[in-house]
Amino acid sequence: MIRPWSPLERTGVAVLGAVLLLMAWSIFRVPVVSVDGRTLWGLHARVLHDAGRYPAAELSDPGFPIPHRQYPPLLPLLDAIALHALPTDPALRLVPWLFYLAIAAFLFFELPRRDPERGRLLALAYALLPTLVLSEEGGADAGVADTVLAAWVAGAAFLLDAGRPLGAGLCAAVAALTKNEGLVLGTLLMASAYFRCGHGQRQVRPVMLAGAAFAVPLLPWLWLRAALPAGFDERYVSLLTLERLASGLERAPEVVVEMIRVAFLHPQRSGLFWWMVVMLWTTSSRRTASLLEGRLLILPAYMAILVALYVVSPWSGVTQVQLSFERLLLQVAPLALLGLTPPSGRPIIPV
Amino acid sequence: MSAWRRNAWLGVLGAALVLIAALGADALVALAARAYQRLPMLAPVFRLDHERQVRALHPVVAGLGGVALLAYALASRRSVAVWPRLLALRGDARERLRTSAAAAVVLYSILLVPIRATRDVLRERALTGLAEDARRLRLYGVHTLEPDYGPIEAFRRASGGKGSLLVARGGPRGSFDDVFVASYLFPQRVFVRTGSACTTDELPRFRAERPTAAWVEWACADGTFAPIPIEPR
Repeated sequence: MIRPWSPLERTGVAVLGAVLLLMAWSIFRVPVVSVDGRTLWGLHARVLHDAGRYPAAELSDPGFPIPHRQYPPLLPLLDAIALHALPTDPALRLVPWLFYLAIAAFLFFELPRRDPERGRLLALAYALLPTLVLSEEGGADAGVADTVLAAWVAGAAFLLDAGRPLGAGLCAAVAALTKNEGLVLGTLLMASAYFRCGHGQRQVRPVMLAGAAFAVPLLPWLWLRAALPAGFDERYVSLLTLERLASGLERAPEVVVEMIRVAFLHPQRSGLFWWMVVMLWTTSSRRTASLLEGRLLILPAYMAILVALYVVSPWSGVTQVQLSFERLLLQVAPLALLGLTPPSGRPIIPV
Repeated sequence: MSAWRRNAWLGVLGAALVLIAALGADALVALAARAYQRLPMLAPVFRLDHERQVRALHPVVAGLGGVALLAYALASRRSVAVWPRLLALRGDARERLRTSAAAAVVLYSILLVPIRATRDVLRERALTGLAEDARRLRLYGVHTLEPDYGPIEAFRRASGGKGSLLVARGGPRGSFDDVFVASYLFPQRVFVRTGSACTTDELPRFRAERPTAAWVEWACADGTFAPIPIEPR
């Protein structure tokens, strides 16, 4: 049974209300500041809106300077729809913000059911995350895709928990159509269906179903993407060679330390959020269940992949970590909260 | 345990905030500026922005610290344990610890919200009355790699947003500068022609390659952004 609201929860919701009003006001008053918001997602959206079709001719024109022309099209597509009704800057900032609202509302609905003691606090911890509220480059109203991706990833995890592998696969596919990282996170999520999908445990069938639903919508997109020329792309997949990994190993410790600093030590970024995740997991009586059935294991697996990508990054030193890692953490923050609170009342692996 | 000890967290929080405020606005600005030593790319605009924010936040920090100290004294004198009441804690020690951890995160985040509020209010004050393009010019340039948007805006006005711009570059590849220019000028189109010799002899070939181009910007050497019209055929 969900307990009565505590004074801190009431205060938190009131503050969140004020923050949402402030964000809404800012969205309609202040232009897009984020560099990625205006030169990447914004430019893609405006080109798409102007052309009225995807892919726009400019995407195939090597002379048109558009960054990451092979990026997935979902956010630009949604932005382009918003551009029909709104001026440029509010439209570009509004769409990702609506996804942030959706995640917050979903967590306020779902987490108290899973964890009556702390559910509301966990939802507040997400909704008031300093990166989301404060960051001009990666915040909820910055006009970038990480919150949109986080919504689809959380949706896929929730549907797996609910025993809906097909829906989960489709959600994961939409995640991959939102950001390239969605391909990695989607694959990890689909693999996690083996440990539990609804009530079922240790089954290959949900993995196959979810995997098929994940792959089918992506194939046309991957085929289409292959025809687009590269443009200011880091092309990480092609950089992931044994040779580059071996030569990049010497900066791996530096990369890992910087990732830890961004996650745990920078007060204006994740604040205390990831401290809380680690603390709640280590003091949980269902640690193993959280890792496997709660899919929390996806987080360290994803971090390991990110370390490999940062190590082969063409950016010098740890610059890329400093510029992007707080946003990458946002992609998995809702998933972490779902993982910490695997649904109760269902058979789980005993610790 | 006495209420004074149980509420020690509130006393420590209040004292810490008061001590931070006691450093003075100048010292806090210097501390904030240090944050950019690790991320020089984002320094130019944010540094100025943050200096104003820090100065505006200084009395807020002092006030919050004072209120926390006052609450500590009043609650402790009345033997009220603030934390368990604030959280409506229940359950065994481990459950209370876990709830406290989640609550600490929320409380910390709440304390950071004034940063966002001061940023938005100060910014709005600085932008009030400006037209949309002027607002953009004030806010863009957050990245040290970004170009000076002044001449680009001057070109946008001079060209009336009409006619494509061809950027002629000597090297084999485009520059990210071109992305900044293209995103700023859109829907006016920008195209890049690499491997250019950057001489007017090339103009007939450019005209043939890009019939919609009405302007050319010679970007073979570093210099001011100053496109010239391509003469009609």
